[in-house]
Amino acid sequence: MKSVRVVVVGAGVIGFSTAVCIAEALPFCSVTLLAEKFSPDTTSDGAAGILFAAEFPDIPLERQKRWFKYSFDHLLAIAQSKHSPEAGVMLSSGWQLFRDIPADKKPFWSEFVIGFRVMTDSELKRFPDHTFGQAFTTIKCECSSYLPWLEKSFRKAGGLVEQRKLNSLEELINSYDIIINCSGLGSKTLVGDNKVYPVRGQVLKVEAPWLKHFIRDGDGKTYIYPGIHSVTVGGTRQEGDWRLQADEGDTKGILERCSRLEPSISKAKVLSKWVGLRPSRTNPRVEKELVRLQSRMVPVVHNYGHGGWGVTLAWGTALDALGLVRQCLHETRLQANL
Amino acid sequence: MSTSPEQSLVLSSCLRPSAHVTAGTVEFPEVVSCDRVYMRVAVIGAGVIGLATAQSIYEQYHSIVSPLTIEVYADRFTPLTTSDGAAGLWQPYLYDKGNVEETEWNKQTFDYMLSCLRSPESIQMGIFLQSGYNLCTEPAPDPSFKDIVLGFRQLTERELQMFPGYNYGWFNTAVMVEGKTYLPWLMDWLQKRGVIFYQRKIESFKELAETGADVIINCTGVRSGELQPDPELKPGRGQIVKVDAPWLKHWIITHSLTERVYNSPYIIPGSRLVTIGGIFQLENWSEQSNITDHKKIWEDACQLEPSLKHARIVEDWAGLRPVRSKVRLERETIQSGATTIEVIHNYGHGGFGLTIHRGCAQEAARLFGQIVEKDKNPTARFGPLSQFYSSRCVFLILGSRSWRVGFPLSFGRRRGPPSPGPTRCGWTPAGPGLLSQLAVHRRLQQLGGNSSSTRTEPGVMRAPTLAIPLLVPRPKALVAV
Repeated sequence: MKSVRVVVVGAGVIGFSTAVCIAEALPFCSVTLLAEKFSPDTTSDGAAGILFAAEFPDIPLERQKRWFKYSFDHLLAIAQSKHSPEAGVMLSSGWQLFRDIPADKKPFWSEFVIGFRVMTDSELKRFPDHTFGQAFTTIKCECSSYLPWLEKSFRKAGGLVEQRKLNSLEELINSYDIIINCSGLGSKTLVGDNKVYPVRGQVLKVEAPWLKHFIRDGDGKTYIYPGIHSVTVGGTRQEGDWRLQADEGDTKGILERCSRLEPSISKAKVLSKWVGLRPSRTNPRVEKELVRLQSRMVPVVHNYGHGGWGVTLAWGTALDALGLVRQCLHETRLQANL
Repeated sequence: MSTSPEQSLVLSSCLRPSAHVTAGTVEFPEVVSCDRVYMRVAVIGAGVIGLATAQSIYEQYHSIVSPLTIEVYADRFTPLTTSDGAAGLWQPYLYDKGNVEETEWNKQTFDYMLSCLRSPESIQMGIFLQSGYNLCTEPAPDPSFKDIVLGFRQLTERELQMFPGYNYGWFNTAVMVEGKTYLPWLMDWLQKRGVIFYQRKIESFKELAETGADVIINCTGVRSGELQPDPELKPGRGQIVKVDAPWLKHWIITHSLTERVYNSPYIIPGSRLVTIGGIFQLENWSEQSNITDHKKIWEDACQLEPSLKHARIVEDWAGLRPVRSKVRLERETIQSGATTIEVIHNYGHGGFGLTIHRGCAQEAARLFGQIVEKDKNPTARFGPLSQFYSSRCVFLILGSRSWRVGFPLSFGRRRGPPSPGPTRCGWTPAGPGLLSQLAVHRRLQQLGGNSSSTRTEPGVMRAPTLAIPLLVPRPKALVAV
């Protein structure tokens, strides 16, 4: 049987996760991953990578639960294995705090993380500005290690990697049969999706090896995420903001707010600053379509628009994308048989 | 009131810095005064127990006992003490077996360290929070510390699946206190407040009493038996491996019904390195690491936490836990010939010294307070120490041309050969009924050399103060310096 040529566009956590899923599950496909930017220059690299979900308005809850659960379980297995340090995947316990009691005290993902419970009064005493909190254990997946690890798995499964800037999907039709679009914010120009927009996030990496817990404000704008070699503190959520340079005002604000949550942060040395543009969309686009490119109808599977939840949903959406690729293949075979 | 001319003093002249005053046979080129009782405390041992006890005594009594001289004697200082090798996790043994006093001291220590976290200085103290897992091979009653720690709960099924071989356990958040950081912080805290350190092995309580210590605090840990035999005190040898595994953010402590505590593997991440252990050998005095124990620790830990296979091994260490059936925290008045020595024992904290240190230190300070109370009564003050003083009766005269007031005082002078350490002369007021108390204390330069590099300069001379509630002095009569 002729080998089906699959190309995955994008080398962030979505791109590589999808590429690995396809290469490992469909050995008769030849899979190439193509991107302009690779780790450490992707949006995924700067993300703290704490598994944590939000609820999208238009995606059935069951599907969102599957996305979260599959991602979590997949990474948990890595965290528990000897590959944990190489893959940059580890367990992380901590607290999410709310100034006012939230409407949804037990979000849908609470059953998928470990040991989820409401914080006790004595735990809350440490946070005088907050009246409610949740304690749980989740995963931290550091893409600066995870992406190279995924690439290793991808190559082992026979995948090929190409560095190239793509201006249009049409450039691909002569070499590939199926296109998987994991281009994140790039989808705005690559597939003309106006619903994708950046949400600027600035973070600092500080040296605070004594911090062992994550602390997050429920508003998502203040968080402390201890990692393997540094602690990521943040952040900002500036919609429609394309600036990639660090902003002094943001830096000050982050340090101030984080020091309020955790006084020892004021003594931590700032190692670096980073800005990323979350590829945001009202809902992530995980669907297939037939796209007319030049004279051909080409199956395209989209997997982009995960906003700030890319690491959290990568494996789950990659598995969904794999399912969509299988559907495309099935339809193509049916077509060929006609 | 009566005066005895040859024994009288003219206060005004003795308060001038360079004036010479004669009273009896003593000359005072300088005068330092304070109110009420003065005391010299000698702490033996510079592990967490010794330093914390010195701190508690200072905190509680430096304004009540003045001057309060505290000295710490030890042959080993940080980073060479037992406290330095401990991982630093606050966690008592699972069950207190009815020893509610120890549970209370553990709780006080936890609450104290938790309150320290509010300040960024907690980093300099080596204090931070960490959560983790206590694993058992079968269901067990909740531990005695369940209401002390934060967020205590049973382990879920999924969590137990992460640890094959263990099917029961608990998760909670506790405090860490790293000896290698905490002890230097404590020493610095004490030195700033005038505590003096001596690197010296003390051979007997009597030795210290003879140099003039009023109270001895015995915090000599596992080697307490050398100062006073104690058949209940035994070494509980431990060995650990320190590795570099910064992806680990939880402690994991296993418990076995058959093995005793600490003889079951544990993994405790610190601020920089991870401590791996699981050795407890009673009555083994070896402080050397050995390869057999290293292998056992390493293999058990890798089975518990597979990711350790990639961890870089940094160092091995072995130490002796000062094991005892229960902590010895009590006063003892020792008769040594004509001498009476006041000792407060504070040793035998096993593997939970850091866990219990503050509660015990506060209790030791309370016991010290009993001694202070006893000595506030000046006649009683002389009782146990009379062999060091020869009392004379002296009257302190305040006067001008138109009036005179005499304050009867006792004058005492320390007897005995000059020895390394401060000597002093002093007066204390005689008679508990005196409304005004004037104590004049003088500290001389330390005689002799001392090998310690941690010795600080002698204390600061303080301005004399007089408490004379009834008398309104005429301007010329009273010169306050």
